[in-house]
Amino acid sequence: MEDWDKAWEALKGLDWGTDVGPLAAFDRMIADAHGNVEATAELENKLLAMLSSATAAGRDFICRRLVSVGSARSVSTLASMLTQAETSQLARMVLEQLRIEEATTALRAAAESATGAVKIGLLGSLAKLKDAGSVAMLAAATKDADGATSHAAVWCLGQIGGADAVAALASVVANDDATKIAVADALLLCADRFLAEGKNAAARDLYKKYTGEAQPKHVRLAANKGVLATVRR
Amino acid sequence: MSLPEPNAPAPQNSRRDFLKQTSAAAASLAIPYVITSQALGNAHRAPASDRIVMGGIGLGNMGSGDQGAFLGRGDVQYVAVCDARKHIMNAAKERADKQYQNSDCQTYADFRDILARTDIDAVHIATPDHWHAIQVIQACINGKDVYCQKPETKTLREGPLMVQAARRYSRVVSGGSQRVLEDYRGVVDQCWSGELGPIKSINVNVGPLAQQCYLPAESVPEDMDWERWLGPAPWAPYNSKRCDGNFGTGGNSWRSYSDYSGGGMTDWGAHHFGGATFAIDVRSMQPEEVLYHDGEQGPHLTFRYPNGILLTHNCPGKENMQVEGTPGEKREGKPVPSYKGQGGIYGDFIECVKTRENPFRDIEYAVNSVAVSHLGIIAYQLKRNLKWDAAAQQFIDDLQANRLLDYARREPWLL
Repeated sequence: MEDWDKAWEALKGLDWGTDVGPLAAFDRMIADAHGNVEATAELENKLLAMLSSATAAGRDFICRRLVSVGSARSVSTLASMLTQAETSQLARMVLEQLRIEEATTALRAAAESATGAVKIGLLGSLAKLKDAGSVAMLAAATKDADGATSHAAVWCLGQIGGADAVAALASVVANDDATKIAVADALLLCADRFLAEGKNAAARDLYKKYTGEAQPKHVRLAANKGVLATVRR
Repeated sequence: MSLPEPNAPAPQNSRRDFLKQTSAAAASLAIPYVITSQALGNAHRAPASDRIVMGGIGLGNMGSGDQGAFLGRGDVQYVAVCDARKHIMNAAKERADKQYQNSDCQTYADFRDILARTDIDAVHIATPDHWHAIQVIQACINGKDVYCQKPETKTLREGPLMVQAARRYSRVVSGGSQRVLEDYRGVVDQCWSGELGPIKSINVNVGPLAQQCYLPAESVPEDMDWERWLGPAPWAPYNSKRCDGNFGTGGNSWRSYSDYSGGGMTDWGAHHFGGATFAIDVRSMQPEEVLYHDGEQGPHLTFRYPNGILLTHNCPGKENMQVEGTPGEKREGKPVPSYKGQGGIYGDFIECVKTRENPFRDIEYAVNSVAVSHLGIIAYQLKRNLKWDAAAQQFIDDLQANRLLDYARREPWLL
């Protein structure tokens, strides 16, 4: 128990370059709290209470522990970190893993207002969660003036898949090779998912778009394999 | 739903296609045509049209070794390098230029510019582990074959995504552990010959686990792109020990720190677990259970495979690669798989690029063996037994463990 008190004290003063030895006790605390709702909640609350006054290194450490013990209680505090470049990834690290609607809603709201790299990160988190509720926002983002954002939106739509994502991808105007490759990859991914869901006709329609001689060889290969798979099944 | 026809991309003619077409055109015309000796090749050098055109991403310790191996091959033309440290990148360019007595090797700050080159057939990747998945997948999307250093993955989630990209685009993707085949041959032969009978267990001793890094900030060297080096990893201040590429895992290299590596558990684990899973022939599967033991002699693990074979980690009293068979129950042997082509694991990769076969350390085998390391790391971190559904790539009834399958990448990197 004494080690645990030292660990909390060390966390208060944690910064880049300080002794992290006492912090090793946190892994034991988390392991011991497993299955104990009250103990886990107590850990979460104590970590959250320290978050606002923590240094950058402290926030980093706390968020990594919240990955293990975080819950809906953490969402509002973490949501306030989502649109700032210095803290967005740390907050996403936790919110991505909670797999609860409150977390997804917070990510969506932040993505609506964010710009640039921060927005890309948020869109990526929503794509990882396969959040169909983000497709309309992603469709709009494919037309973002920032090329990196529009490119990321294409990738995200491919990860989520489904008819709406396909429709959004179909409307992307690809004027350069990088975008053409990205759109092809996203649509082939959507086709693979249709195939896995038994929607062979929809999959075949998509694959066939990429079987032509004008396509890069590896894209043609992927598309032709896909067409064959729709026949076999 | 109707889709507009995708815009036709730029022709994807490779340098090899170009040379073949040009030679054929020249042969059909009764005009003088000069083909240099470099292009024609000789006893040690394939004609230019038959060479695999390659680039390298990450040219530090392992990367420069890989580059040397590929540069030494007569059937490779090495044309591009990329590294976050300029002096490393420039040295790699000089090596290539010296080999070919020209100045053709191009340098790139952004690996995506190498992948966008349609004349490049294959790349080797030897960046720190946290970059591997993004770069391998992007290489596949751009039609490149890949030789990727071990450990091929940084997290459990990355593995299937890498395999899917390789399979979707029919890419040859080889992992980079030469030791799997070459270091444990005695044990492999014993197991595959059938002389030990049905295998019950094998033990691997390897470590340590990586730690979180809170080293102090130092000034970023002038020739280093620190943001690029960090890439998808969480932001942290530059410190020379944080990013040093030496092979230590005791705190003075990136291999020591969990944002970039799994420590010895994945770094040497890729070799040892790779060799063990090859010896007991479970490369095509992943464990279904991890048992955590915490006794007087320290924590250790037992992985149970679906076929009942056990793989133990740091089991007290057992040697590395110590295998237990079934005495008195000899069984029929089977041929030991090996490299194709000439030149070890590098030759295997190049041969497979030519023949489109799967290499010895095919990405799927690599992913399965490094998954053992990742499962072990999570069991050690949580200090409990875990049940693993390999088909679903999820832990069974363990929310906390499932939260450790992956991490959010730093913007703007996506996976």
